[in-house]
Amino acid sequence: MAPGTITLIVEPRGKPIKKLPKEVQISPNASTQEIYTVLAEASGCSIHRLRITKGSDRSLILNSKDTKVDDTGLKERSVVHVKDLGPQIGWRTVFIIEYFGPLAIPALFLYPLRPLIYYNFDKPLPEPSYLQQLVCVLLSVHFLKREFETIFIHRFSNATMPARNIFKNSAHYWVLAGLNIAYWVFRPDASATITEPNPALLYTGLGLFAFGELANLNSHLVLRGLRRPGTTDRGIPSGFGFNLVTCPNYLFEIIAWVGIYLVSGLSWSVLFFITVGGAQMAAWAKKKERRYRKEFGDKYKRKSFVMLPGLF
Amino acid sequence: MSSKPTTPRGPRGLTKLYLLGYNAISFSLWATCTLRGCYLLAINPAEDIPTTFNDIFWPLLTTTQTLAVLEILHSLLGIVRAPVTTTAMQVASRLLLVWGVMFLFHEKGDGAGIVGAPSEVVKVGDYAFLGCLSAWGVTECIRYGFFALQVLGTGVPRWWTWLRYNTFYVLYPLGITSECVLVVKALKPAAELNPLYQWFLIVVLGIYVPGSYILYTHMIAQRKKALRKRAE
Repeated sequence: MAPGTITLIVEPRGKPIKKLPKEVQISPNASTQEIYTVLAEASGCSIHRLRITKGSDRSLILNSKDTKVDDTGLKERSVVHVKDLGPQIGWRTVFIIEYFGPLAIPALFLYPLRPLIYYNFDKPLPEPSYLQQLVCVLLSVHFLKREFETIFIHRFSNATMPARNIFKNSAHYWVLAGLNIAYWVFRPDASATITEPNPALLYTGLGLFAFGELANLNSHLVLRGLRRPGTTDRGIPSGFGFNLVTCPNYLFEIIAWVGIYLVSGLSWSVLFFITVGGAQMAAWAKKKERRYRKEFGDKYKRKSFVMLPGLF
Repeated sequence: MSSKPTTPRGPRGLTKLYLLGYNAISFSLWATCTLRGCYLLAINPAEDIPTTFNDIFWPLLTTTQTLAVLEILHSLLGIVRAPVTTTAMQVASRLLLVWGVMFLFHEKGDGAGIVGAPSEVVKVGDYAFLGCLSAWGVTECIRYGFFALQVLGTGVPRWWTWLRYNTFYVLYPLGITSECVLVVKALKPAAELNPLYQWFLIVVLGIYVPGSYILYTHMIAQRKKALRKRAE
């Protein structure tokens, strides 16, 4: 044993990992990330696939530069469990694939696939109406913005997710935001087919959409500013909307979608997507508030509402 | 670190996903019925009230309300805690109104319909329809939204819980009165259809009195239970 190092006993959990060493030597002053690096190198397994927990109380050992081995309470001949999480996929990749469906589907449904999808309506099908084309533009703009933000704005923590999850996550966007909305709003008998749209509904909708998208972009830029490139820093966000609720980005997103709902002539399919998405975002926002309170303590000004001011 | 794992109560896995989907769909559909109703009332002049019925009833309201049949199934399968009989009674009375009254006796172009006739004179049935739409619509938006949040496990905001257990004091009487008016208005055309059907509707009206009492007291009991739980 080299001086100043401790030996950890390594045991696999779940599926056996080939070439996983039985023991590993590490300095108590090293960061916990080093345990991950050493074990990933030795076993030839990607670092993101590994999950390391303490044998004594099963608590997670973070893959972090800022935690020392000593701080976790690991001592000479402590046992650590290593689990192979299976194939992983980066968040950015998942996001790009998720949004691609609802980005492409509206235009495909409204133009080239129209005769196929609405085969059971009287021929010839009426031309896509003004409102239908407008909704198609709004949906495409929204998801194009999302793709843009994914590639250029968001700074992800280096977290990955199991590759299988991509199906579950994509289903939400491809089916609910893509197929379902496009089918109902672009139907030849949808309420969006009226030739003289109600100006109150149309312009309120467009206004909400424009405001929501810009404000949402702004919140994403604020959140980006919290993290230096290449790090997983965390901070307390401040900026437009952040005094009002924990997650104004979700609030503005919902406002933009309410805009689409109004322009669509109140199609239930849009509201359905807002409801499901809103419920999910509400759950995330609640978690976020809890996390801020735990992580920053008194420095963080507690919010009474996490997503919808005065409501939730 | 002493984070106590909170054991999630209620449905899990696929059942949870299904119930979330069902409640979110129902919420969206009912909210759209209600909002479209408000919107049409706002943009149309008063003599055009019957067009509200024509716009909303088919296929939006029929689909929305028929979907509630699944609730009886949920109760039978035990994936929700609501009692089967009460649920069945509630759903059956709605289906009777939607299919057995509105669908059968709405205006079909001969001026004999009890609701939805495009005439200068707005019929009593049209007002009763608006009564039903507002009472049902608002109740169901609150109820399904409540369930969706409950299933998700995020917790329901206090004000929403308040709405859920207090609005019925006003909305039930409004709904039940409107429903009774529509059934009464349907008696004459029902006799023309089949005298037996008229008798059936008369029996239904007879059941409405004790039935509405049962539903009303059921809601009051639910309210008490919920308030007690919150106080704990």
